[in-house]
Amino acid sequence: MIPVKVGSEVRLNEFVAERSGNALRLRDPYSSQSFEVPEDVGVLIVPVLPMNVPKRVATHLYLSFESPIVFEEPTEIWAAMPYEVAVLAGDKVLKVMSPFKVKHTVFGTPADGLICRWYKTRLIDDPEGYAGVEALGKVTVKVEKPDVVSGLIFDMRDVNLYIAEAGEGLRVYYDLLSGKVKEGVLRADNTARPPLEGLRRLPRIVGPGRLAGFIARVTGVIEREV
Amino acid sequence: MVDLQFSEFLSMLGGNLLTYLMVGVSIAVVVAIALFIRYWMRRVAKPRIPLHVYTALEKLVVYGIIILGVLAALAPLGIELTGLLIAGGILGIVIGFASQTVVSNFLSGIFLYIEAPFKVGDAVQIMDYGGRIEDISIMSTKIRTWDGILVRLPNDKLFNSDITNYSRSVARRFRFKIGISYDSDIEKARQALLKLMEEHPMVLVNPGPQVLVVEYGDSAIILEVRGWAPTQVWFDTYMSILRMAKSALDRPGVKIPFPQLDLHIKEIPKGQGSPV
Repeated sequence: MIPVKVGSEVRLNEFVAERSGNALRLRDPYSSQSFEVPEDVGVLIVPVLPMNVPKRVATHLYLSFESPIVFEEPTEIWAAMPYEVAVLAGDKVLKVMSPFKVKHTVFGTPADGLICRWYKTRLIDDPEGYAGVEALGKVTVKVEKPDVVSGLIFDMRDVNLYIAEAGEGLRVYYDLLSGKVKEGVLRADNTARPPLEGLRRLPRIVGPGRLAGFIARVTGVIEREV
Repeated sequence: MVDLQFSEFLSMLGGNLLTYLMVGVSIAVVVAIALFIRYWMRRVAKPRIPLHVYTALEKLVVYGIIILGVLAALAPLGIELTGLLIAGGILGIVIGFASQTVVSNFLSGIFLYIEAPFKVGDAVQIMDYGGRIEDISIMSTKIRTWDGILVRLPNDKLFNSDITNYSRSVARRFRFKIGISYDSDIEKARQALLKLMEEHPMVLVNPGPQVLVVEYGDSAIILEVRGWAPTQVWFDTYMSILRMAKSALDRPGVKIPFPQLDLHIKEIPKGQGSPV
């Protein structure tokens, strides 16, 4: 999570949050909005699953590889993944915005396929040295027979996000995924486990009570400002 | 003599009492069977069948069993069933002729349930009415039109109509035509419109957007813009692209012309023909 202190600006790729005095201004490529937030109220940016901007229509995430990948034997890959950010004032969610370009696609046919959040991804060879803004996801790949794969798809609804401190910012991770190559697509399921040790699991934004407890317990920022 | 008449009376009474008792028990058994069948239907059939169909079916079955059972149970009392059945048949024919429409609506309701061309909440176009299905009952279907008006459609009319269901697919295509002037660069216009759709979060990547030259019209080159959007946001996406198309074309200098007519004035030399 990233606190937005009075008199500061936070940029995450295409998302900007500026705070001066009581004014809080938020913008992303799809909307912009201003709020009046008293200076003694903490403002926090929390990564959430990319399902809300501009409207919730997708349940799955489809990651399109920059170039098709040949899978011949079981392996593990790390891929760049998008996320959205929820802006909280105290324990209230003010708005959810997207630091990344938002697109959707149909997996299957328009008659009865799946509406998916779409993202053009790339494989990350060195996840520990990764300096980008995107989240990272690890996928263990099972291969029954060699195939050329153009994308990865998985159900986002039960996936957890995790964070780790990384230099001056934060790094976001997805749950470890377990994938199987089938008909040119890597179809993955959620293992509900973190991809690495020592990561902090982010809460799902479901209600103010749970959020307040989480914020006070994890960051300490809100307590200091109060 | 008196003793004989009294004992005969007692015997007759005892016999009738037994008959009445048997009839009473038979009716009670019939009612118990009907109630058991109703209980079984509520447990097994009710969760699986739309409520409006189940309610009619339950009444038909339960009352049918009770009526037939009671009539059969009354036979020992000497009540002529044949006459009742004939009278019932004639009455049924009379009622049938008088209520053809009602029966037709009822049967159409059953067939609509079996075929299920729509469900409550679907966006549909039926005859001249476009809107959302608000209620489906055994005799009629109610639509809330896009203008907020509630329309009741008899099921027999509905069953025989063309029904367009816009909610049955996860994605729908939008398309519209736009004319550009003959001195505009077609490729610049195409790229500007494609970029507009590529940047819109709800225009799908697959199936992808298209911009096609479909006609060389009298006043303009006609382009057809096509894109797909999730059904739940189809209308908003379509309207958004339609609204932004003009400014997308303005930026690279592509013009949308008014209808035009080129007038050529020709001078006819004297002596070669008379003007009109």
